[in-house]
Amino acid sequence: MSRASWGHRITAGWLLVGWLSMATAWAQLPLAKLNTVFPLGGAAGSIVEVAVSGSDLDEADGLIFSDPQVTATPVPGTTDRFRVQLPAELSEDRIDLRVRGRYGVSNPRAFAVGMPGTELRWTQAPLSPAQAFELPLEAVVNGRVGAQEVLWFRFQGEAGQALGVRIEARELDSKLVADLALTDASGAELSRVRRREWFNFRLPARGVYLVRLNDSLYRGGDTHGFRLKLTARPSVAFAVPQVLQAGRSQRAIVYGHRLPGGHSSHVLGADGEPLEERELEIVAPAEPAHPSALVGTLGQPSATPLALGSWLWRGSDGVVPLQPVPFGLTALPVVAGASTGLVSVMPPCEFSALFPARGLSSGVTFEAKKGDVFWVELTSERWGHPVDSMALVQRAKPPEASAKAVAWVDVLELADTEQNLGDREFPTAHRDAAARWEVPESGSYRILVRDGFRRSDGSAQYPYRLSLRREAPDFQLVVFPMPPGRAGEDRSIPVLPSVLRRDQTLAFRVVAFRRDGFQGEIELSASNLPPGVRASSTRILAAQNTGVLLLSASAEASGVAPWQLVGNASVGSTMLARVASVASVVWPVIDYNIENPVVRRSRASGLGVVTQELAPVTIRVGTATGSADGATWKFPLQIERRGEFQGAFKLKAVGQTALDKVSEISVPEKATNLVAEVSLGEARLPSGTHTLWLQGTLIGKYRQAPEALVSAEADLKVADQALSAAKPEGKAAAETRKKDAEARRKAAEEKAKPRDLTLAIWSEPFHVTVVSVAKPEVKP
Amino acid sequence: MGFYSMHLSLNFMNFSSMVVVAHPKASQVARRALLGVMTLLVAFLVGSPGLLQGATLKVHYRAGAGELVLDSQDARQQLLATLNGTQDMSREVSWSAEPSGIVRLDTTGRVIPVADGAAVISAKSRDGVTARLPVRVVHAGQPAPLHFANQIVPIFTKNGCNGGGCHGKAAGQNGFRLSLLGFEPDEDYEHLVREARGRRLFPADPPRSMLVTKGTAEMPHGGGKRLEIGSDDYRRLVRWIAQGMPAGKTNAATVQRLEVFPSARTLALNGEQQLVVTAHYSDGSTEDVTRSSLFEPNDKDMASTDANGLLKIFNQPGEFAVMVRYQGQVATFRATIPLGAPVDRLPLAKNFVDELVFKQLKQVGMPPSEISDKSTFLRRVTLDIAGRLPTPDDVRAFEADTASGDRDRVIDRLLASTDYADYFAGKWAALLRNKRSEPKHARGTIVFHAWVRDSLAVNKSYDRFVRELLTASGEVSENPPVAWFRQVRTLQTQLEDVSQLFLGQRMQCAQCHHHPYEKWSQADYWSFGAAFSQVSYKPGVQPGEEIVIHRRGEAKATNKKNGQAMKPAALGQSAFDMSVDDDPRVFLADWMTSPKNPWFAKALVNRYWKHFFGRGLVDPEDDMRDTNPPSNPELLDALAAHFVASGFDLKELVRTLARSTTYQLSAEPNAYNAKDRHHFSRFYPRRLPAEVLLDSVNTLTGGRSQFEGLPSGTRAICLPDNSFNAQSYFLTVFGRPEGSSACECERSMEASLSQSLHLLNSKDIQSRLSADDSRPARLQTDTRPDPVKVGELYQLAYARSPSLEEVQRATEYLARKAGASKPGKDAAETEALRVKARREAWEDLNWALLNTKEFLFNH
Repeated sequence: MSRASWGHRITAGWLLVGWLSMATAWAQLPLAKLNTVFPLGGAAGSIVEVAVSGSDLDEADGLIFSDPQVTATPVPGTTDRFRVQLPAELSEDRIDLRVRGRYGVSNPRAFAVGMPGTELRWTQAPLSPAQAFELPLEAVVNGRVGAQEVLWFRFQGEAGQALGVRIEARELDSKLVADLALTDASGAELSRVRRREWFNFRLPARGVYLVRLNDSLYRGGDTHGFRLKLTARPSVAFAVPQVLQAGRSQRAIVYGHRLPGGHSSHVLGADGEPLEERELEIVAPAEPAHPSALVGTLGQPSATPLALGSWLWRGSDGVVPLQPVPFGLTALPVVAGASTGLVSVMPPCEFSALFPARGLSSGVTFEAKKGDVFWVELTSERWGHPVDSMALVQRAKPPEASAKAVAWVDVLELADTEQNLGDREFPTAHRDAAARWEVPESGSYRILVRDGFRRSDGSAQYPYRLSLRREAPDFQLVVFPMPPGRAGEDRSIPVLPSVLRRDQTLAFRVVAFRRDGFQGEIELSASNLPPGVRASSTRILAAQNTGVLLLSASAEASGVAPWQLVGNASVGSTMLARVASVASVVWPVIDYNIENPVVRRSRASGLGVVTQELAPVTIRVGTATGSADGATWKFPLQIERRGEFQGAFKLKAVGQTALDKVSEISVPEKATNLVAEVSLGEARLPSGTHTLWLQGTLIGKYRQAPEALVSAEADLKVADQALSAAKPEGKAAAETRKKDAEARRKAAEEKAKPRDLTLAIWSEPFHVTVVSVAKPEVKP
Repeated sequence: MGFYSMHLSLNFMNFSSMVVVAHPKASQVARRALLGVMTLLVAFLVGSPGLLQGATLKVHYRAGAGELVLDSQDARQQLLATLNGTQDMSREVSWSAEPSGIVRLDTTGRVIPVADGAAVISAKSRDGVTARLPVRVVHAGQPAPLHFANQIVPIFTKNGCNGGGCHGKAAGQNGFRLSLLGFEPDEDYEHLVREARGRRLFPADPPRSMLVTKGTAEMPHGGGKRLEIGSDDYRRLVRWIAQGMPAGKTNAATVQRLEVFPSARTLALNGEQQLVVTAHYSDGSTEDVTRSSLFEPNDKDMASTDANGLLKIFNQPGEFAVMVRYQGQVATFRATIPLGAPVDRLPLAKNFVDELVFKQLKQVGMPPSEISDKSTFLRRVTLDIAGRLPTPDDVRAFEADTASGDRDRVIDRLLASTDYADYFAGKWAALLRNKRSEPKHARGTIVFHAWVRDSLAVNKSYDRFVRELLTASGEVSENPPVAWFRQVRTLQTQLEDVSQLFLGQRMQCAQCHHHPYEKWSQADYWSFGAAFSQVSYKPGVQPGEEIVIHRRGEAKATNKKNGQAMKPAALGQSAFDMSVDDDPRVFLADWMTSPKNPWFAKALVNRYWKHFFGRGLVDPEDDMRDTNPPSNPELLDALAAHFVASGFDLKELVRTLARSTTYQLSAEPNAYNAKDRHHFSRFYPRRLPAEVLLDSVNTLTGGRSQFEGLPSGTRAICLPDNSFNAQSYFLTVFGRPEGSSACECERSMEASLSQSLHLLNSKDIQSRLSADDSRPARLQTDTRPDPVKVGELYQLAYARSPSLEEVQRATEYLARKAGASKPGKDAAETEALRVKARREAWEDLNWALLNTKEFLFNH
């Protein structure tokens, strides 16, 4: 065997070892992560005992709610149960809760606040028609579906009674996707819906009926909680127009079921059955709702900009739906169209109608002047409708002498917005279309709108909003903890709560939704931080869609705070300040090739500091000195290592894409002080001041709560002594105490065992002022 | 011969009119001459002994044709001599011509020109009956101008040179390639004349050409001897080479259609029929191509053909067709071979199905079996509609229902149950390739299966079902039929599955060459496929669940043969009139689901007919071509018309089929119909499909199957996709399909040794029988009398009560086995051993029942 081939073998072997070590090393430092809450809600004016589960929820001592009126106290003698007090004055809503514990404050989970009334739970899962759970009208059942389980509910109904079963799951961060069926008392199926949150039906006769519920893929478990309600209240699927002029009273047609005064329409619901319609007068408020109000309704990442300019209608004219209906708000005049036909409008304006049935047209006609600039935007998929909205702008061609009809020439075709701004952790691509349009010549124009998924049966089914507005540059921001880098075959997407350890710098990714061609820089700053936590100002560079914000905790930092990230930018002579939404991955994903993550914005932010641990490694950057030609700079680095994070690692200067070319800094094993040399000249940074920082990863061994082991061993010793000294009548109790102590010690020992993990490290940012290319001036 | 004797009636007055039909191309002078000759003929025949015996003989060669004109040295004509218009006597008469020297005839009735002039051909039967046909020969000394495509290529086809197993395969054979079945004569000419520097042909000495010497096996030839030296084909080939291998005129007439004469006949067992094949050319001319055509019966158990077009019937009554091919054209001859038995007593015809089936049974002389008894019917119809055994409650209720219409009520009850939807969803899911190729396909396959099942449950009309499938766009959770487009990703598979599944037209071959058995060309193939050319995919909500969209733009597909861009069109139709905004799939669906579509309704009713009757009216059920005609065309037409009129109502179709007396006939053959496989004179028993059998075994043994990821007790007929086959050896060995194709043939209904062994002694079956919660265990502890429990077991297995003898035998066995248990150490142990033996006896009885044919078959 040649030496070369041996060399290949050795290399391959090391690669394998390296891969295996990486695969096992991507464990993270303990961070409080909340997986499930049960029940998923409670009635206003009640106290609900709630169980939580997750990872690293050690020493959980409280729940933090997005609505500060809601409070909770731990159930004595438990580590995972809380009594939640829901004041009577709360309105029907969804709120977020987080768990606070040793490892910071967890990611949020949704929790429903129901109307005062009956909230039910079963003691034995109703797994057969014989075991069916009684379902009173308008009561709420809180339950969970187990894997491969089918649940049964029973109710008494009247002939001709129109009822609906409403199941809340997705909006409450449940993984359940419900299939529902109505059967007669013998279990014979009468009707069904699949993968729907509403199941509407009319009963054929007086009698006992059963509702069958299962996950559409027969998955289940603690992650598959739900709230189920049998109701006679109206349900509204959507309204036309979808957008209202702020501060005005307008006519709108709502489509749904059990609408008082409503009548049957030709429009189909998501289940393919005809909807009722009712025309109403709706008074739109002058200001949009708080963005958090739209989280459950417009929860998808791509809907973020819409959620910030919307409002929830909760009923009028005697129609009070069980679920509020979202409307967009605009300052422009709003025109509503029918399901077919083109409507003449005067831009700028907003238009809303139903996608046309097959063979028919929907859209607007208008006159435009050469040089006018409009933004044409379609909204429907982001509003939750399963459509592929498309628009075609056409110009009327002056008729020729022989022509009988006006000919239309394609000017602009609008298709999907495919750009994904937030990578896998916050995917923003969507099927709604938007484009800038400069009118090429004065004349008559039309915009034809259609649904690329149009159904073959040719019935109108979903609404759209068509904005034809003047250019108004703006932006919206979303922030979430920076995901760790991936190595090897790692295709996981973790849930990351906003948690810092003392003496740690943590990076957050900031995503900018730029509107109407806005390209300027956005300055980022944070406020409302926990004591001892500071933010260094960074920015999203011009024409970029993402940036990084770094938060640093001092060695004395502590507490939990509803922090806020603000982006400031100048648009012309106007300064815009926009508060970022905080987002998080709802469920961890093991392999993104098999499953995409569910992501949503939080209803409130929460940044926590782990006070009982310091960061395993802290990097401090000292004053730099430059070379004679200014191309090479030396940074004194102080590296504070704690515990068993003594290995060599590499750091890289980041903060500018140009720095990708700059070599990494090698930090030797156990090194605590060194001078790093960085060739900024290679990067050819443009003149000006740049915010940079260092980042890297380090593999080390981590022991979780070693002091708990010491404490547990002491407890065991005491228990052992107590057992030895126990009199015969107290022997049994002492033995029990000792067993408990042994179990605690064992658990503590297990936790305290050193385990490999890879630590993501960031330094605090520093600023570099480049006077001219290759001659940077560095300020610590 | 009784049947034949009934048909031997004479219509003399028709005779002369049949014979005296002037050739349309004959001149006025010739017609006058002919008239004179024929007048003489008639006068002669009136006095012939044959006529006196009451029989008519006719010489003819094509429907409606009169004088025969042979207009070149190469012209040939096969003649037919037919007795009484039905019986072929061509090989039994003696052929002659007067005057001599104008034509000569061989013993088969083939006419060969000798010299210019007119003559009369005579055919004389052994009993002296004679028929005559005038013939005229012109240009007898002149060979016909040779045309490569029309006259040389058919030689290769006839002799199998360009077959798919020889030089016609894509790579050719030993370096020499011909187009498959001669569909590309230009390419053949190129290969033959120009390729290999022309060394295959030797004009200086044509008989020494490699092409000829290989064909005659004078040189070693892998394909053996294909040409006889001196034969017509041989001489034509040699002459073509000698003439310098002319390609022929580019504007030469082409074959437009074939005519086979006769087109249909009722024939006797062990009889013969000479076929005459005429090619009709684009210039209006005709040519006898009998000896150049290929003949192929669709049922080789019933007849065979020789190269000269002589059909030999075997000793098997029934119907079959002979496919005749020449120059890319096809025609069929349909034969009915009656049994000839008396059909005096027919059951009550309950609907048009019965009327048309019984009409045919009378025609072929095949009396049907008796109507099945109630329990047989209940079991049969429950298995066929609901995919399960009747429950003992079903059996008791049906036995108690003695009012008229009891059977119809059972059918309606089954159709109203979700069992119907569950069962047929499995059938459709497999045909629609609902295959889980990767774990991440699970959501797609489950929701697609659910969509199929729910569509059936609400009795969605079939046209809407197909339309929703074909035009599906969007995301799988919202619009599940898009999952079909994940499995059929290419334009080719899309069009081929659609045509096969919904139209019964197999288009696969036409992708590369003209379909040998059909009329579809590559142009048809690609223009049909162009309807799918704008189907596009983009990432879906989850990996593995792509979104299907229609991409705006001009729809077209490239004919891979000639590079031509083909616009979307329905089969055999002109291109759709559509804009770039239109989705051609919608136009395709419009055409397909139109009541006027010639195949859509027929394909479905035929498919469902096969489900209920075991064999399609056209079989295979998805191969509906002219050359594979239905066994009862009138019935197929009527069923299709009824289906269309019902609004494509699948439940109504099932109701119509299941309500018919034909469906309810016994499987027990009578003295005449044991071999019947075409006329549905009795029910054809068949093994239970894999899923139904597994569920039935569970029902009988009290077991439950556990399929990963599905609720406990999920029945095998409800499995959404193929992935569960790997979990169940039972399903695999009994042939549950994998959903890899649109063909029902993927489901194996064959019997095998593995199946028998699995049922007899596999651990799977044994554990089901011996489990503590099994039916035998429950029966052992059941305190009811043994005869009652035996009765229940029989009702479960066979949907009938056992006979007294069966009860007696079973109870005796139970008692004997329990009594034979060994004594224990004490009374308790003795009792325990007795109980154990008794439980084993119940297991044995259960095992015995599930291994009977009565259980394993639907009968």
